[in-house]
Amino acid sequence: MIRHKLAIIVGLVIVLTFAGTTAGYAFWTAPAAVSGSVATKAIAVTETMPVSFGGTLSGTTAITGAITITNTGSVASAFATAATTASAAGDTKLATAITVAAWPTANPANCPTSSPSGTVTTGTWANFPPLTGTLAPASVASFCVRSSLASATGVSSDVVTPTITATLTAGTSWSASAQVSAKLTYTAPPPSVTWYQLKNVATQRCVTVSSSAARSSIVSTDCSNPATLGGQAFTLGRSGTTSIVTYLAQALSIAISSGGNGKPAITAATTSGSGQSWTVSTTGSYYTFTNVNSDRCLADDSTSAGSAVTVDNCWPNPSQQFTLEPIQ
Amino acid sequence: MISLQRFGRSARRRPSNTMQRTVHSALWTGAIGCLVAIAIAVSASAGSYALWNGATNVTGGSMSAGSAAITINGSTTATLALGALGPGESTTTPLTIANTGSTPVSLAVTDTAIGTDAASLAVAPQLTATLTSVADPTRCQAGLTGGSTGTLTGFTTTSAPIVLAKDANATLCLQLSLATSAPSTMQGKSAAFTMSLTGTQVAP
Repeated sequence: MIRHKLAIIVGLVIVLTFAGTTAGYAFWTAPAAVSGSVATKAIAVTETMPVSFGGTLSGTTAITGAITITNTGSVASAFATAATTASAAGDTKLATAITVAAWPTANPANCPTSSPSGTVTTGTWANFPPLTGTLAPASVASFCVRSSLASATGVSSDVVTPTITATLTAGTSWSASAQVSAKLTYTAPPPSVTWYQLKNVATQRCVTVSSSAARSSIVSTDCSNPATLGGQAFTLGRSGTTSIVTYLAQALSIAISSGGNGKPAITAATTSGSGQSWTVSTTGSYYTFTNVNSDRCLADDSTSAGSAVTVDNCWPNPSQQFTLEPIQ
Repeated sequence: MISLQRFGRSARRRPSNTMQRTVHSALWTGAIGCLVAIAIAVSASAGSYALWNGATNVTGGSMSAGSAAITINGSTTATLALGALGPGESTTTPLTIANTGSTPVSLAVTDTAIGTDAASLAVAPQLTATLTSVADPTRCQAGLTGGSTGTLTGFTTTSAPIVLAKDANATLCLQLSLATSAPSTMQGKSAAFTMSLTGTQVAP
């Protein structure tokens, strides 16, 4: 027992002795620092039109212009275009009818009028696919843009204004846009018109406009033979109640300035007013024109050439009947 | 010995001579053991015991303290030239760390402070820092992976520290990236920062 206690005592002495004699360490540290400044770039774009893609369209002539997109910022960016088209007529008929082709070019000032080359993007001005790519800072992308009107069937005269907007994007939040636009004008050809001599059945003379000025007198004169396009040429302007348009001044038509029998006919600007609207009726091959305002009929009561054409109460008399003699 | 014998006589039972010798032997053994232990302890301790003195003169001897010191690109306060960034872009710069002290050190970025101006405070949260060890500066290029990565604001290293031997160099590549989702309002700004690198003496 004693031996055991002594052994324990000896062990404790050894443990405690060495436990109190472990070495102490103080770690040194060495600081250093780096400083810097990180700048962020900026995104910016310009779009120009070295050659306008606008102009006047006809049935066969294409208009070729060009656009140039320039990355004027400091960050490489993706770009995409979007086209919108305004219409003076307020519809999409013309925009839909215009075929657009665009293709990349290194020489936007001189786009060929021949067939496009390279990758060609096609559509219409009502739906034009985006032109896409990437642009490093200070670099450009140019495209030739060609508009053509292959078929204008059913298309009325209109002026459309396509706008091509180029947008650069970097990351998910940076973007910049610029745009160009041009007007494309289309004038529909006039409908085919047949011009007639209005030949009075009673006098066998023709209704004649004395001059191209408004408020000119309308008289009865001998019919020219052969008929020519001049003071004796008229056409019916619209269906139903119609205007009787004179060839001599095609914005003018036959009008009655006031009611009453014997009032002379004159020329006046063609409008839908009742004084220059006429109801056309036929008896066989004879035509009668009833003025909507006065409810009287166009009449040639003259006894000699040069007398005024007037209006009178309507009655079935040859003086108020006319034949329409086409002018070839 | 006498006192032990007296102690033995005062016991109720008189031990036999054999037992008596055994106890004596154990006591002597224990006492000697204690003395040896104490002697060893004293000799191993850092204390100074001047029981015996002897003196001699040492001529020309000197003793100097060790040191821990590091430099970054040859300086303890290096300034970096960094490229500008767009969304999703990265810029890199190599940092040459030199152990100029007399002891091995482990390297760690212990803090990154951001400038207090409005632009720095706005842009810094959009910046991600990556610090990676590379074999040489030419390999410090965008797209590095590994090492420690985190927002520049308060950036510290989280990967295993690099231990740099005395007189040794190491190249770290610092990459800063602007978030792809950085707001548009971040354009044309700059963020100033100071990254603190600490070399800590490695325990011997």
